[in-house]
Amino acid sequence: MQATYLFLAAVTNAPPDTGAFAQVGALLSRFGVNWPSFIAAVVNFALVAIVLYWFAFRPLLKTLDERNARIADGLRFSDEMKAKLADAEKLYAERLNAAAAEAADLAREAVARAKIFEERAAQEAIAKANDILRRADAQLAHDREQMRAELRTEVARLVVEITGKVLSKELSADERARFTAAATTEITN
Amino acid sequence: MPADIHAEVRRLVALSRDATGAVSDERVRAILDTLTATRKPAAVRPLLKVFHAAVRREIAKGEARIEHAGALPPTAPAHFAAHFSKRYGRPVRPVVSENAALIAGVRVRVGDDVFDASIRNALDRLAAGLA
Repeated sequence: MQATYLFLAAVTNAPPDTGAFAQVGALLSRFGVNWPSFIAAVVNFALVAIVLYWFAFRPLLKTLDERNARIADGLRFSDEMKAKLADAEKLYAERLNAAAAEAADLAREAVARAKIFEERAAQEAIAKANDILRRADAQLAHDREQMRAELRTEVARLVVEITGKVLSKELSADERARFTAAATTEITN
Repeated sequence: MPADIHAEVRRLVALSRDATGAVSDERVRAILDTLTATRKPAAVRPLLKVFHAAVRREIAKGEARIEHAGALPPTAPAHFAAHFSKRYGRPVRPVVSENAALIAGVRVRVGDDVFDASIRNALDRLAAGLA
């Protein structure tokens, strides 16, 4: 502390106490301190310090600051990403739940539609079957009626034919004459 | 067949009738002689075909074709002739023939009209009714 004080006093060239200054100078000389060399060393040290500070520490500090900033940015980005990831996971979960609900709705709707379609198909099949049965009954009735008509016609033809043959054989000449006379009267009256 | 042929045939048929309204053989013969003498065969052939059919219809209108099965009363043809002459207002002469298919009874055809009082007709109507 005292040496520092002496040094400052020497540099500022303030008129110190000449007695004390001389004593300090003597003391320093006794320890081998040479003021010009000391000052040169101090200046040299200052220059070196300045150069080191300007060309080494300052870029180094700048680099450190940039690195710190990058780290901070990275951490902030990481936090943001974590938050976004959490939001994304939340959104994914919500959408997944919504999709599951929608899928469940679709499944229920599909089941309902399938049931309706099945019922409708069954009703159509029943209707078609009933229609086929109705047509078959109608066709059967028509065929039956046609057969009856044909049978009736055939029976009538046979009856008339047999009756005609019987009458042709059985009617006597007198009977024919009487019938013919009656027919003549019928036409002319 | 042109329409004028039918008109001419109607006129020729009218000329063929005698005073009683019946088709006369002499008049038809005279018309045929005139046609064949005055017209070419190719031109007169269609007219003669239509005239022939018309004369046949006219003759049928003047005849009562009586078909019978069984003995016909002797006075029946005269009765038919008188009846149908009065009915149609023209002379109708009877043409009698026997038809055993009738079984018994009488069928009379005058032109396109048929009067059937036979057993065959009764059986046919019975068959139609049963069918």
